Amino acid sequence: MAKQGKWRRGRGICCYSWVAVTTVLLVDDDAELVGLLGEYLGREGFRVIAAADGERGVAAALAEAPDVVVLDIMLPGMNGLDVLRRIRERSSVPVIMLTARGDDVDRIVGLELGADDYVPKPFNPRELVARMRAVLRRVRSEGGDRTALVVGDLEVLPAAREVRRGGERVELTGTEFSILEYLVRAAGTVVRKEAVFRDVLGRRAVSYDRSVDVHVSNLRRKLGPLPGGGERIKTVRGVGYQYVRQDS
Amino acid sequence: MRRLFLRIFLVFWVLVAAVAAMLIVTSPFFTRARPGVERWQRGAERVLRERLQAGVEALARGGDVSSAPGWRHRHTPVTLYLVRPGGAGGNGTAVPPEVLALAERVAATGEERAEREGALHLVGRPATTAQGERVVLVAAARRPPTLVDLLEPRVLLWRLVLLTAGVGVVCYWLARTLTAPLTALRTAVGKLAAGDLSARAAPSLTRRRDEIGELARDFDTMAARVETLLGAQRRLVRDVSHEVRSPLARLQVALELARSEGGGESAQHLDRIALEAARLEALVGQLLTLSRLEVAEGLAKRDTVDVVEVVEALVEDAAFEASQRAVQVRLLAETRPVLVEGEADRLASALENVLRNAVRYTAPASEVEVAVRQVDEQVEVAIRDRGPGVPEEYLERIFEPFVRVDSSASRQGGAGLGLAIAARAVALHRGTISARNRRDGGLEVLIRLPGKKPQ
Repeated sequence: MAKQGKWRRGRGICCYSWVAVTTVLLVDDDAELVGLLGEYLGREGFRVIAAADGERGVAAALAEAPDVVVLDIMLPGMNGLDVLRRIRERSSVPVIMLTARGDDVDRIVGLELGADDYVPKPFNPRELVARMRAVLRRVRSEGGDRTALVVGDLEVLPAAREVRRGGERVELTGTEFSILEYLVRAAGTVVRKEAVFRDVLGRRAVSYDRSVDVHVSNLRRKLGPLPGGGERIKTVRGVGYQYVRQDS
Repeated sequence: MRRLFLRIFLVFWVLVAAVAAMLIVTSPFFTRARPGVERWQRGAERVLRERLQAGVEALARGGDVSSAPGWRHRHTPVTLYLVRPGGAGGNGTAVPPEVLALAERVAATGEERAEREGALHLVGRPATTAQGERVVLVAAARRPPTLVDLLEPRVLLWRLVLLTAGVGVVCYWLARTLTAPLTALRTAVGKLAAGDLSARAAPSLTRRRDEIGELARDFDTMAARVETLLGAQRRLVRDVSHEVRSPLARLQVALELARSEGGGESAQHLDRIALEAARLEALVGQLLTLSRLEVAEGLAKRDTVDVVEVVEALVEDAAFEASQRAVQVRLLAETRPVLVEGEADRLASALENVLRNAVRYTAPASEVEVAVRQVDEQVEVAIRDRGPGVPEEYLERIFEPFVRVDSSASRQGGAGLGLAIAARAVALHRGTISARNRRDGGLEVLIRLPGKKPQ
């Protein structure tokens, strides 16, 4: 994943280059904020590329292959959610949304569209970096058991970060994969929602945070029911989730 | 422009005329139209006899009965019938049964008879033809119909039924004409009131050229204005949200940069800036939440929400904050689920604001209770703390924005918007919120929501 930074100047894409290890694409129309954030993230060891609007954001996300995208949902022109939709059509790059505080609708729609996490704006940059690192850690699945997991018709391959259902590949985002892996490792037992927040998203749930619920409902939709027709991931009201182990 | 007026006028005119006609028909006064009848009847018998006499003479001469010149009594034709014993008509014409009946009676008695069968006047007399055959001659005239006949019970009943039905149809049409467009307009008004700002009157209404059409067009204009204004307000909220959070976001990043550059002495002031930035951010966030709630046109969705589940999550969140002041947060729920209909997020934010308030103000090492229960059709959530309470005169006002009970420094963070947000969110769910001081110290905030029966 290590990339050599290099100076590049192009239409709307300005460049802050370091001998970077991780490339962040910032899609935000606030040039001053992008400047400051570039400086901050630079000190934290990230290479930053920026796009000032949705069109350029989509282009850069697909062409520059960043390691993580930080996407402001409130963009002039193309809406941030449309940008996310367009990126998700072609790429499963981790995306962290910057949402308006209190705007739950954007947040939930964003997660449903496949965003990995969100940070309400204005944010503390340390918080943003923590989220980015958590997402990247998930995607890179650093450490941990890398052997394949098989439950019923489902195969989870942590090394390749791939999921097969009945031998067929299912496209998941990084966060969805990590949550599925976490649930499958504990298949047959109930996993507390707080544990998913802590161990997978790397943060505490903020009040009435539906992030995990949305990711799980995405998983249900993508994986479909069990071969027998039953529900694959059961919700245990007020507690958490259980990946149903059919063969037990 | 005054078509509706004209329509009402004409219809009432017709209606009143119809009623008058009915009155004329039924009024006893007009049944004294008898003089005309009597006049006709007085001369009738005489004319009939004359006709008979002429007929008998003609018969005796061997002439043809029907060849007698046309007789009339007051414009009514007088017919002469020849009836042979056995009942057959004399000259091939059809003989009415009344005539036959009379002829039989005349033949039986051998005397002249005059009779009346309703409007039919008859006089019969035995006669002998030139050939010596004994026959009966009957002269008949039918009295012209008069109002008296219209009052014959059977006829009268039919008239009244028809008239009532006719007037009923006219009245129904009148009522429909007047109320149908108003009902249609009311549907549109109702939709607008319920929050559908795109609701407009149906084209069939706005095309009308009467007063209702004017009203419908005025309504459309008004609705368009309301839509524009609310749209502008909502855009303003969005723009402010964008414009205010941008400098705040920059401020936060710049602050972190300054911190990382380390400034021994300035570190304390930087912390202060960070604190104030956080307060400003919280305030902007609350303001935006409140304005969003205020422009909300009712609930965006109607999920079935288990209040106990929501409160459970909130209590868990609050427990961390509370534990720093050794405060216990306890959930009291006798049954579960306790269901309401609405938006889980908004309900949660309402309850969270109240709960946070309670945790903030309760005395250190005390207990905050959240009690959820179902009372008949209602769901009650009571949040009780052991804080200083609120002066009586403020108990209702604490749910208004920016109303503060004291200005003491004990207030941290909150700008006095939390309870306003809670009140607004509860109102969106058609619930009520109230506060009262507990007898043994502390404040109780009671939220009542319409419950939902589990299916």
